[in-house]
Amino acid sequence: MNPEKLSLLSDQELMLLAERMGIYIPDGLDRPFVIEEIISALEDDDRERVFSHDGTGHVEEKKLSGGSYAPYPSHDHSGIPERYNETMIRALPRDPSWIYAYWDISEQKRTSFTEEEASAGLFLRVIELNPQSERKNSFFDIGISMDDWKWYINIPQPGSTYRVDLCLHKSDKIRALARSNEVRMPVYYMQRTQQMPQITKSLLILSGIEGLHLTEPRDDNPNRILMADGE
Amino acid sequence: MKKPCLALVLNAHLPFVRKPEIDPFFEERWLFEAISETYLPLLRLFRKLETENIPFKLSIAISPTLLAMLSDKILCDRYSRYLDLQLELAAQEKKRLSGDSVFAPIAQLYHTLYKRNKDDFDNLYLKNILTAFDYFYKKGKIEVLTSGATHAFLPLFQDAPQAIHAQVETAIVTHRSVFGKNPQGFWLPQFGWYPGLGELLHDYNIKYTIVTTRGALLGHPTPFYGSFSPVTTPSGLTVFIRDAGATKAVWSETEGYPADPVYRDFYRDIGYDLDTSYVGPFLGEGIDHGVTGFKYWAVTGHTDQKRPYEPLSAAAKVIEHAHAFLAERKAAARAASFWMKDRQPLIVCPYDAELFGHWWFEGPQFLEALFKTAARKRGDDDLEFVTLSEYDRNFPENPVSEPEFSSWGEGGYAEVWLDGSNDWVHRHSHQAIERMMELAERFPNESGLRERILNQGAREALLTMASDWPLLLRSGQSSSFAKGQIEESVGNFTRIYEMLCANTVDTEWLTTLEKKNNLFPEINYRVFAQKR
Repeated sequence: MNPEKLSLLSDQELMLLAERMGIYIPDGLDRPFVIEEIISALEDDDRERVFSHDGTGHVEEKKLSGGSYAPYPSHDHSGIPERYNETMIRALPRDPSWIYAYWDISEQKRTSFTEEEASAGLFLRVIELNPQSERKNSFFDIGISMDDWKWYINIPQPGSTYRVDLCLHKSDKIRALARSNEVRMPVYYMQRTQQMPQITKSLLILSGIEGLHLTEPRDDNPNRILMADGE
Repeated sequence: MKKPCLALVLNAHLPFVRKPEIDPFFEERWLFEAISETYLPLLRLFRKLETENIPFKLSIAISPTLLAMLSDKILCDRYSRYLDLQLELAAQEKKRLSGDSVFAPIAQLYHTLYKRNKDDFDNLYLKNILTAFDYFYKKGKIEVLTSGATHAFLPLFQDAPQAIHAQVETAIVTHRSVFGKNPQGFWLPQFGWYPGLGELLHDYNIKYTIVTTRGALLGHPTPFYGSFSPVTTPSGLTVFIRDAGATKAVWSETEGYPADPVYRDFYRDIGYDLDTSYVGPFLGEGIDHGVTGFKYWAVTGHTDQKRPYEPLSAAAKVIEHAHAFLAERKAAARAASFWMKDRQPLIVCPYDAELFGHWWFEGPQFLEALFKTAARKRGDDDLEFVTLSEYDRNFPENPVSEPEFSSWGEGGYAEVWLDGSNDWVHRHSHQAIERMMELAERFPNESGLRERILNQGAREALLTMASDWPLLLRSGQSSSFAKGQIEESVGNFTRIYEMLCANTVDTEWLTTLEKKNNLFPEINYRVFAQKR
């Protein structure tokens, strides 16, 4: 997510994104400052944005501890290739907000690029395949350079399915060099609890739902912020 | 089943670490420590409970890589020699601490532990502890689950279903070769689940698996009985749900039972406290400091504030914690029973097996106290220990739900296995499995030397998928070793691929590699072929 991409979002979407990221936005804060706050939070180590979960994986590491800390002798293998000389892109889902994409462009293809194409023509097009809202744009672009080979893409809509195309601007046309697999993003929050039977509501509480933070903030009125903003 | 049920599930897993060309090889100690502190003590516990006629039931997943290592003669011989060395160190420790009223009894405790381990491993089990697990498996006291062949974090391979087929099929074949029957349950490596995985597992006649509370409750639709009943996926797989309370009580590093000050501290070890000239000979050539297993301090506080370990105080605390654990689970089950009229509530308590004994030294005592305490309770609302398939058989109809993408790693999704420290791995592992799929299509009916090299290629491709190495790269511990393991399997696979493309085989190199990475002897490279 970059300032350009954020600037495409509506005020309401910006406020929702900020809320999802746990950023406090005082009433009346101007739009540019909201974007700045979001960018600043994104630039922080994203590990700090801890979402509640139901257990630690740290114990898993204990059984693999106590190593010698000696450099491992790597004399008996032939090494790993730096690249595989193919044009491809793959997208992997990391969590509801992030896709990890990596790609490569074959030598043959690289040499066919003009200088201008190589310096400013490459970009990733992130396409939402089943838009759940009425946003006009169901895709956004991220400029990349020839030296890039991976990108963590902050996506706006958990629960949606995305594809990432590796694209090139060529003579005023857009050419897709490679298309990724489709990635269905998971969600952070469960379905609205109000519509559930009382049995389920009670058993969810006994299951520890509150400690897991699985209900969306303001579950009772998810549009509250939007309405306030609109007013 | 007339009582609320509790299913204890342990996951025994270690990555494949075997270096026959280096002796001793330090990281093989991960296996040796786990055998010494977890697997043998667990088997002693089972024997003791059986002898004392204490009813016990639990499910245990033994991963295919662990099965491979526990079946391996070289590793088992090395473990036996490791025990000799540990006994020598124990004798030396008894001498060093002779007359010390605080520490000498602890040195004696370790001497007894390693002596028992040596007797059990060499004489009772004839260096094959899998026969003992098989004994209790066949008696119905334990149920053994399988897991991914090399513990791959499956959600990151969902766009390459053949690779997941290869993980599952190889695991089932390995399980069957050791235990003589197909597994009913599948432990998801790192609890990694994604929507749609159930169909693939169900196709292999896997009956059930387990997901995190988070993954289940985020599922669609929301599980009708919360975490107190399994759900059935649209494809027909039973999915049990981890209990959040039981998880926190034992797993939490800050609030869980193992963090109690009286328990033995995991970190402080004479391998770091004492001089290299003393501990070095027990660690291996060129290694100055490392874990020896001889630990004399209680959790207490920071290093300089730790108090000496008192086994008797810890033993008393274990019983207290076992009572508390059962009482809390019973209270939750009783509350759930009020709403559940058509079935008994189930509380699923899955943990890493190595937590019990290796990390939490008193863990096996805790399990013993759990079973013994439960055996004394006769009330209708007291908990009954069950295996997962037992519950599944009794309550085959479950609410339908598809759990959400989830794991037990930090954050609850995939960030542990996919961040700046380890994301480079995925390019290579995906490349290896894509190429292996290509080879399986190009060479569908090979035999002889070409089949051998294709089978070895399949082993190496599976090894590149292991989730353990990205985990270590992220945590920063043993990261150089983890990086070496990935580079080695990717390098081996790439060489195999290039040899097959060039239609040449370096037979000597292949034979050496087959002897070294000898896991899954019954592997069939065609597991990577497109399923038609």
